Amino acid sequence: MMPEMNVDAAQFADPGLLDTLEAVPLDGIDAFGFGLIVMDRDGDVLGYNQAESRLSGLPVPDVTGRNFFVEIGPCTNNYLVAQRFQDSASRQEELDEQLDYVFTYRMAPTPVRLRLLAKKGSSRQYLAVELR
Amino acid sequence: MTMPPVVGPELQELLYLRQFFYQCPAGLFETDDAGLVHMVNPAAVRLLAPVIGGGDLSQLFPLLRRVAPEMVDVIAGDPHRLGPLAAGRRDFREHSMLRISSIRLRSL
Repeated sequence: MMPEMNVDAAQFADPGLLDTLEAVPLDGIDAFGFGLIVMDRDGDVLGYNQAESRLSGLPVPDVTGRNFFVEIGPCTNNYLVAQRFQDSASRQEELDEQLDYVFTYRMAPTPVRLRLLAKKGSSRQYLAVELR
Repeated sequence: MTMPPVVGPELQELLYLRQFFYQCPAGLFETDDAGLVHMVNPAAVRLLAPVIGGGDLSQLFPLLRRVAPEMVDVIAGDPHRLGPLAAGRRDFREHSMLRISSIRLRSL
């Protein structure tokens, strides 16, 4: 039985964040206070929450359905981020790693903390973003 | 003085130009003479993230001191010199090579 979720109170660094994300429908991701991108295992965007939309300045409809690593966040298309998602998918391994990174929101260098998450066997993967 | 809002075809041109800058496969920085980064495109981060990790990208010169230290003097030298300051400077790293160019534009 799933523990009762309190998405509003879910924090970026919560140990159980991956289980919470797996249980939340796409129309519920705006409740998270940190930036969140939900992708399929190819990197196509399924969900983009309001917190991330505010940071990037990109309207949600402009992002949904596009490939995150190629079109939306090409700064992450390297072995540090995109490759880790790809490796976890091809090896059928769970992914939950954090790293400091720099995003280019509105063309300005922006220090962020990233959390890369994917459940073994899931059709979804998640990139959580928090400003540093 | 307040600039009039950009609308219509001019806005589309600006958005297209921004998209071009954003999607350009070469890394691009725009800085002032002191090296303060005003704009950076995703390719610059993608290429340099293995060098800087999650380090600061708001100042170009500390980064250049790590990958091409002589370019700091070239860029910070004569502030009246316009045009290409350094072209195609190569920095060989363990498994890759960075090629770095710099150009100074007249302020608008």
